[in-house]
Amino acid sequence: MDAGGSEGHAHAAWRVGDDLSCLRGEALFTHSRNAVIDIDPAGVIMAFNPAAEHLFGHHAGDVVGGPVGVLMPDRSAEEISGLLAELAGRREVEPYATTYRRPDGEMLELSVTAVPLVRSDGSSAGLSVLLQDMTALHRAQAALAASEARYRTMIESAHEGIGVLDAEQRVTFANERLTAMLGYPLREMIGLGMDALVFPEDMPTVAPIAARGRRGDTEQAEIRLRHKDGTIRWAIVATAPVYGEDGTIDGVAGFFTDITDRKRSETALRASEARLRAYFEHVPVGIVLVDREGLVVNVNPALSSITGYERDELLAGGLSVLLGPDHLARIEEIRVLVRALFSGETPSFHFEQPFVTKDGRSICLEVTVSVMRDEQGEPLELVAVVQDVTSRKDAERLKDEFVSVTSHELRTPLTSIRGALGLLAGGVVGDLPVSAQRMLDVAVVSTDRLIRLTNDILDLERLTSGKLSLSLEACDAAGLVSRAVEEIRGAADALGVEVRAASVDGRVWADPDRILQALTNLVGNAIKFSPRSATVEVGATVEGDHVRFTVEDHGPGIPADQLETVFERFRQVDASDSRARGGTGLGLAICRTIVEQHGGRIWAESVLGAWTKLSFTLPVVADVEEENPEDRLCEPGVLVCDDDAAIREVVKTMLEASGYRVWTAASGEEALAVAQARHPDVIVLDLLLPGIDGRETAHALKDRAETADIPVVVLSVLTAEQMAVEGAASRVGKPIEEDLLLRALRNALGGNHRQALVVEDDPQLSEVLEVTLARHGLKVRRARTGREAMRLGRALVPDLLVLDLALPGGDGYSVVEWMREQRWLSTVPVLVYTAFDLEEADRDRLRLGETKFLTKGRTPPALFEAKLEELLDWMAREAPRR
Amino acid sequence: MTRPAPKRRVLLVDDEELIREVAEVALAKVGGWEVLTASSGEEGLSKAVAERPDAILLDVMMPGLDGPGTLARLQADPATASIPVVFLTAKVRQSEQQRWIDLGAAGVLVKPFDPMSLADQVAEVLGW
Repeated sequence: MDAGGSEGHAHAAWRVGDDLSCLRGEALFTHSRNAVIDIDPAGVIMAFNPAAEHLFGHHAGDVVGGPVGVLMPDRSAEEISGLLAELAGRREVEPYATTYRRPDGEMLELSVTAVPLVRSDGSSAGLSVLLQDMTALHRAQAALAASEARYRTMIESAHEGIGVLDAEQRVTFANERLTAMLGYPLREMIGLGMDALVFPEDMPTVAPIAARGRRGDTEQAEIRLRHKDGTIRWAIVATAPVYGEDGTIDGVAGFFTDITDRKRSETALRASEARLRAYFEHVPVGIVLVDREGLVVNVNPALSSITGYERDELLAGGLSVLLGPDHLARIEEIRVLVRALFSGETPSFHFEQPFVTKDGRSICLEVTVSVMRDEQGEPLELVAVVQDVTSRKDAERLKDEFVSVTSHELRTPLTSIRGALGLLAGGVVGDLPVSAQRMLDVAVVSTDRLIRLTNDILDLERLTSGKLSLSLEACDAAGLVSRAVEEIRGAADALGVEVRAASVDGRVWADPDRILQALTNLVGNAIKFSPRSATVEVGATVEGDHVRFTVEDHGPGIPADQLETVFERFRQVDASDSRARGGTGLGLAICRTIVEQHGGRIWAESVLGAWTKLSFTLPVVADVEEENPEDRLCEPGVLVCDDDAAIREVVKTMLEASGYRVWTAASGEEALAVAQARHPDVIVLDLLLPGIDGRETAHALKDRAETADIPVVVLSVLTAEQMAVEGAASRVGKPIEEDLLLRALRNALGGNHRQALVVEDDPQLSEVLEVTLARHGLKVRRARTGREAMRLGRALVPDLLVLDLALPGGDGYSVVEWMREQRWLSTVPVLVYTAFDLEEADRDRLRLGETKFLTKGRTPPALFEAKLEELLDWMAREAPRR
Repeated sequence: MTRPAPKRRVLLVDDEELIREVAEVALAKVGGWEVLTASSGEEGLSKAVAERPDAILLDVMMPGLDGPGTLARLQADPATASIPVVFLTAKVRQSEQQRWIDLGAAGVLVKPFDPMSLADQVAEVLGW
């Protein structure tokens, strides 16, 4: 097949009938953008158009007449002939895709259409193969697909719901978020009208927005959509026009942000604000809001009606109106409490505030203060709830009076009744028939019960009203237990029950009368419920910071569900017990009240039919006698000089026990040396000494500047005249009487001054107090701790005690408690100077001799001096100088 | 029940007539004592001076001169200072009772009392 021939063949193949078609074939062949290759049945290229030249990168002249394999160098001859046979055998003229690597290495994607060339006689003239280069088209399509996938991902993963409406306001697209927001599957959503998805009332708003969005005017609005289940979803909507393929706007896209949750919490917040405002405006208690700077920022109408001041007056007047004339001092006190509030130490505090209303009535306010914090927990404002408790106070006073009067008024007739019945029943006024005697016995027993009931009711009333203040002291648990056991012994014997004091230990802070009342009550109960010849055990053991008292019996026991309720008034395990066993039903309620007033706890444990154990706790008294060598440093030092070693030892022991530090010397010379070195506060000197005698020693001491001011107490068997030593402070004879020696030492220490013991752990304040007291002619000794106070108190027996309460090593209460037990100290006048506000019960615990109370920070110096002078006047009148 | 001579003479001071009556019977018939009575602190004082009883039983809450006031006056008068006084009271507070003991009372007995043992209790307090 030559080149010319091939052209003739090629054209012949297209020739269907006339010249025109031949011409058209020729023109298409030459100008087609598709490559056209004619191949004869032997696989030889017959024609190769310009587009084929471009596609394959071969010149027509180079390939026409050659085998088609030239165009496919990577395929074998068999493959090629197979391919050609396959193409020639095809009946349908279908394009198929294939790839082709061009000689320059570029990979092309081709669409191949092979058209068999058939001669008019029906024989095959080969193939005409049309090849279309699809590479660019495919690339563009791939890029488009990738871009669409990207946008789809963006739209589907958008946080906003996105939907598109067509010109008929029907949904043509919705992303997942929107379908989820409105509760429709996508297929149901497509085609829905806008009116199905928008809350009807909002249609007048939404329709124009959609219309404007369609024009490209985008805007935002809060609208309500309708969920498939009929509920409302709040959304912020924004719009954008959607362009069709022709570039014209054919829809509108809506972007919906779901704000339902926000709306819901906004609504809830508004409701809660409204509620709070309603409370604030209408509660019958006054409310004051105070900011951190102490400015009153709001008050409610109730406060106005309580105080009689208008809201504006209260806001303008602030705390000075509310806290009254001494508001500055009160603010200082309250500030301390507010600090504790801010720091979270306490959730709230309250105080009572006397107040004069605008129209001049005196009332009593109860104020409870708590703090309002922001989300970070920072304090924002103080909330003070103010209640007028005047009528409650009045009622309490009336009730107290009633109880007190009732107490007397009930007991008086009961006394006569019980007395008269007792005399009759006792046969004092004559014998009675047996039946009458029986009736009288009933009357006596019932009267006794009525008397106990009256006593118990009055006791409980006084206990719970706080009218019965406790006088706390350090008590031995053993003493309390044995007294209770002793008191109940008679009743126990009568019932044939043994009461045994088991292990008893510890000391407690308690009002002994009240605890005895509780204990006898519990033991009394225990024996009443014990079978004959059973044992009741009473014990007390130290458990940490409290002592646990226990009373155990082997009676019927208490059911588990009543272990708590037995402590309530008139609650007994079996109501008939109260009559059978003569109880009033108030005993355990009284016990609980007493124990709780002591800061303790009471509870019952029991196994039915086996045992019952009632326990209560009381705070333990710390052992204040604990030795601490440092304590001795504050003690007055005494030098004891005697040549008799036995006497030195006796005096040393005696003085150390009384709170002195003691040095000893066996001779005058030694005494001089020790005095020089130690500078004792006082020297006890024997007169008859070997070497330089006592008299000479005393003179030598007076001659030396370092020792001249040390007072000397002469101790000797000599008579008073013989003992007269110039400059000696006092004289004590032998054999030594301890009291006389101690008194002589105290006098020597005080000189001509009255002595004050200042117990204060703050060194600056202690010094200020010393200066103040010295100005009033008092000689001052200072103690920093409770223990020091006790040691110094014992040695000095001060004329006046100035006492702080919060002390390390035994507080002020324990100091007073200890001093009460000391013979010489129990009547010492006291000036209690403390930062605490003291209740009357606290004050009672602190009284020794004449006792005054001053509050730190609230007492101006003038008042301090005035109180001090009152005490000094009292001392001048009542307590002669020793 | 009757105690042997010397027959004790006690003065009972109480503003309540019925209590006086009952206590008088209790002390006289059960105790076997001679009982004088007075219905007020003031009357008690004058009877104490006039009759010099061996002991005085004194109510605490009385109109006019009350029990502690009467005790103070008795002690202030040398003629009556040595007569032991026992309070008979409906007040049961232990601390108050202690205060009266401190004031110089020989003892405190509580109302309501058991008439059959009242005399014994008084005797015990007074060491009779």
